[in-house]
Amino acid sequence: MGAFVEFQNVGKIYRTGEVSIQALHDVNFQIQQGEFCVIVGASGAGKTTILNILGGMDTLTEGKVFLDGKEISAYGKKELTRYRRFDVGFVFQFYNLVPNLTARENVELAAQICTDPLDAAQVLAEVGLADRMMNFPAQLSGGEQQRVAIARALAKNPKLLLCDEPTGALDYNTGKAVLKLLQDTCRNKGRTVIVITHNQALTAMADRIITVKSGTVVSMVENEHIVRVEDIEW
Amino acid sequence: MKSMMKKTTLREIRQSLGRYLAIFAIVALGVGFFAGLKITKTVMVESADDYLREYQLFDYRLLSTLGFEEEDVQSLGQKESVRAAEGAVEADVLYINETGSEGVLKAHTLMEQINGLKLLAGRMPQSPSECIVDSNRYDETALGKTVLLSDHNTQDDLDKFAYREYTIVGVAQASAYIQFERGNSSLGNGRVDGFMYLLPEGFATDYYTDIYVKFDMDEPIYSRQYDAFMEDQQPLWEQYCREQGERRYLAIVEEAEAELADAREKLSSEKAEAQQELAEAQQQLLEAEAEIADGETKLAEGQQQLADHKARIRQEEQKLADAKAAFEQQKAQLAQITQIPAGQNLSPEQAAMFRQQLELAEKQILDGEAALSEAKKQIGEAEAELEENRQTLEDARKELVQGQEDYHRAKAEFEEQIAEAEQEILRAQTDIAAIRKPETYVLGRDTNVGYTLFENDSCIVEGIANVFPVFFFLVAALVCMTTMNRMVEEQRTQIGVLKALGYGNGSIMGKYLFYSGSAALGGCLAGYFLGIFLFPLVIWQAYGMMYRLGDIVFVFDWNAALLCLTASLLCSMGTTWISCRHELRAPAAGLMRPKAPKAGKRILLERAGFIWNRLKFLHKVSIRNIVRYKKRLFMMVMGISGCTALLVTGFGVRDSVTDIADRQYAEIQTYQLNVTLSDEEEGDVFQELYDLIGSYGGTYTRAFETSLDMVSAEGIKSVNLIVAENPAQFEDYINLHTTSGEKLSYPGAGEILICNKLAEQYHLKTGDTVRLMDEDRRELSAVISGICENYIFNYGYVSSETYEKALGDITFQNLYVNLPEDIDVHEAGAAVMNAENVSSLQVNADMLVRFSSMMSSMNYIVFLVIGCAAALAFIVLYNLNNINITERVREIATIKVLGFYRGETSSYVFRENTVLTAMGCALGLVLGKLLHIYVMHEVNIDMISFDIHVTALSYFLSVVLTFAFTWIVNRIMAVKLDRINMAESLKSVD
Repeated sequence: MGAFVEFQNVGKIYRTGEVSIQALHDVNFQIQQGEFCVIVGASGAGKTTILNILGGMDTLTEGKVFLDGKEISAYGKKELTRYRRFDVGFVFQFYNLVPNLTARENVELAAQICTDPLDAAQVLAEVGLADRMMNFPAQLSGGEQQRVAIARALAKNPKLLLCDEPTGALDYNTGKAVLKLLQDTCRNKGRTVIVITHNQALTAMADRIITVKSGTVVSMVENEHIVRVEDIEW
Repeated sequence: MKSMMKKTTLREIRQSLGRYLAIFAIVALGVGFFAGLKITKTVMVESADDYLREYQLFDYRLLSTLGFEEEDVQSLGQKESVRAAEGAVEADVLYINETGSEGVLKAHTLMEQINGLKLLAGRMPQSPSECIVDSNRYDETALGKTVLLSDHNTQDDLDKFAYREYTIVGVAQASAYIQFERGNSSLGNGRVDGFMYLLPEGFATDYYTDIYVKFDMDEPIYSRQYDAFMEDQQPLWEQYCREQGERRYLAIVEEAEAELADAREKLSSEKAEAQQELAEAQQQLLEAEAEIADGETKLAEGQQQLADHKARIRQEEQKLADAKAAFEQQKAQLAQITQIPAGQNLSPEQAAMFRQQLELAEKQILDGEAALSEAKKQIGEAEAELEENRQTLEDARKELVQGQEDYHRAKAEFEEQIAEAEQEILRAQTDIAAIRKPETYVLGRDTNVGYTLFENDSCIVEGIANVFPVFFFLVAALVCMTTMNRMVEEQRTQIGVLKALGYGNGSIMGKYLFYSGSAALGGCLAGYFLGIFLFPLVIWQAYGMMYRLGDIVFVFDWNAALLCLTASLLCSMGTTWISCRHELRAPAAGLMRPKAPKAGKRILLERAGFIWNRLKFLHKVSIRNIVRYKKRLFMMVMGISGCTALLVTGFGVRDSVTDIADRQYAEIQTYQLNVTLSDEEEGDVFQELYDLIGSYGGTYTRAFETSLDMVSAEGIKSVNLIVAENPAQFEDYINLHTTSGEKLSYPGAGEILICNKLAEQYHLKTGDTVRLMDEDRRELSAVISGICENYIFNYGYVSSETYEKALGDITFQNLYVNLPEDIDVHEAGAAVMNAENVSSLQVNADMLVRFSSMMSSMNYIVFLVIGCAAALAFIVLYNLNNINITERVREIATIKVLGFYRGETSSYVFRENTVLTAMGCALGLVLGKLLHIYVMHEVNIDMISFDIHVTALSYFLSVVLTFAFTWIVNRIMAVKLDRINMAESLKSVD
């Protein structure tokens, strides 16, 4: 069985005017379906670029990217949009909730453009926000907002859940709770979750750890000693 | 350090050129609109002032019911501060135009210094039989042709002119006629076609009807200084005029009295002479009688003598007969004697002696017979003579009788003549007594129609200038404010950094002040110069259709420029300062922390679950967003509604104007021809004409048209009064109905129908009484029975009995003719014109064309308004969208990441625009309707009543155009949306 996600010799060069910056080169990795994968690296290592490419938000300069056997790197603009729409769920560092929509409405915002969405109320209940559904983002704490964001990503029923520093803006305990939620989602629903972080500590809970450094993957290991979220400390 | 600030400021401008240009454009638009409209009045007035100063429009026009003489002109010319005073004659006259129909011209004396003409073609007249004519009526092809005065003029009118025909040597526009309209006349169809200027010698009058005065000052027209100067002059000149009038009166009376005295003298001398002659004649008659008597006596005497003679002759005859008898006896005796033989008793001697005696006796008888016949002959002669005498006498007697008759006749005649002459003298005496002291009038420029209307029109422009620009400035201020607010908010981190680096508030604020200030300054300058050039030009062009003036004079107004500059800088820098100050008050650290995004709120509509729950999800989002930014909502709605309102107004002006000619001549005056009959007599003379009309399949009705003054508390107004001969037929020719289309019946006795314009202007309503006055100040008053729809000119309708009761007999000299549709009206018209007894003809189709083209001048204004509306919509929409998008970049990026398609993303963002546009449109339609009414009431043209309405099509077009503007802006902004990088969603809030 092939990998669910596969990067083959991916390179990315940003060109702004005369200057060109090589953000990625020779990136190769595979992720299996249902895995909880953490991509870790220092600031500027290129992990966000990987996320952008995997998320269909950016194109690559060389190489190929496959998801579920389909070559994303060959997609055009419209197909990329479709890909984002149906296949990927995003969780942002700063939640990116629409401020004038309630929690439920933020979830619905994503759900209503999908063909096979989950029920917004149910998803929110699953992330533990059954009683905050009618609140606006400004009335929610950071953790709650991130849960809404996760609910929003999940409601689309995506093949892949991409999380960019999901705990970056959260305090320790809240961050842990959010991570727990992501892990549970992966474990209970069998959904593939990719978390991008600079926090080395989070690697302990992952099935697969991909380390990025200076624009390329330096190691990819399958974690043999998975630690429960509750037991991770940083 | 300073230069770095400068650098970042300049880069800021380059990088956010759209925003910079938005401020520039909205300020330019606001300033341009304000300055342009504001200056337009000044430009109009100054251009007119230049023209009127160049051609020296009069300051006073003096009138006297007795006219003026050269002496008056001389003496008034001597008065203080008079530059020129000139006498002039003004007379309306019927003339024959090219088509052979009659029209009315107003003839004026061409003065040397006052009321000059601007020659457009040809030359000034040099001989009294030359004239210069109205450029409204004639073009250069008229040069060399003649103006022929009609035979239908009264002798009095013709007597005023030295010639019956004047050669056109020039075509000109006149400073005394700056407006298109030429006024009314009591002649012809009541409308003056144009003016005609003649040399003073072209008139044959021995007096002036007017004196024109120009003072030795050239204060600007309509200015306070001018009014003040004229106000000072007014009492003086009223006094002068009274004095001149008095003098003229005395002179006239004196002259008349002298003439009368002469006449009396002459009468009495003639009377004496005639009496003398009569007496002599009588004497002669008497003498003749005496002679006749004498003759008779003599005749009688002659007869007596003749009778005596006859008697004597008879005696002589007797004697002669006796003597003859005696002789015969003697002869017989002798014969006896001789027969006795010789010697019988008678001796031969005896016998000889006897014979001798006999012979003697015979001789004596013969003598006697001769004498008798002589005497008889004499008597015959005397009888003849006598007869002759008697004949002579008879003749003399006849002559006498004749003489006596003649004498009596002559005497009667003389007496009659004398009586008549005496009567005349008496009449003259009463006439002299009846010469009233003259009414004199001192008329200022405000009685010149063109002069007054031009002021009104320029005030209309000013009135509009007072409404629109305030609105534009408001929008400009709001745009600047939101833009700068957003900019400062966007850059709060940068501000925080600068503050943390130790830059003072002043230099940080300087950047933003410079940013907005320079944009506003640029916008202000560009807008100002474009505005003061473009607006006056366009409006001048539009009014050029109605006014005949010189060239436009562009004006630069320092005060307005400063005002615009101050206002635009206040708008831009003031709002910037307020936004900056608010941010700068926060500590540097606070500025560097992200500002909490504006919280979402439930909106009122959500409470109405039955609506809210039915809305589509994304629609809910849009509604929330709309309500979220109240300031933006307000601005957007205001901008859009302004745009729609301007469009509605623009289109509405066209609607209200373009249709009126059509309505007037297709729905109200539905007849095709209006024929004026020349002869006023009734009868069969027109049968030929009627037959002609019949031959075209046409029908006609007769009416009487006249022009009367309507006298009301609010002024005097000239009204065309129409009297129908046959009200029952009338509606086939003139359809009388109210503005809402209800049919009006023809007014009965004592009633009048008036047109809506009169009713509105003088606040009259059904049931009110109106008073109409004719030239002789006779009055017709009638109760308004209805108010009829009418657009061109002012009309009143009464029945013939109403008219005749008040103002005397009517001759129905107008024919309204309906022709079948397939007949060419001009062809039929020409045929009618050629018929006998037709003096003039008006083809309604021509009137329709004339007014339609006149009204098309309004199109300029409409296009101007539409252009401004478009600019307003673009700027406001572009700017707000720009702000909206930059403010929501993260949200939009997130949406994109979530997988919204391109179309979905833009509708997610622009649906708000559409909704706000719809709201703006709805409000704009209402505002537009009101604005349109306001504008149309301000644009009040005397002879035209606008049909103030906006068609559904115009509303529709306004909405469509507004949406089109929105759509175009959306399309432009969609490009910007595309450029938003999804990676933005990953960035932190800043």
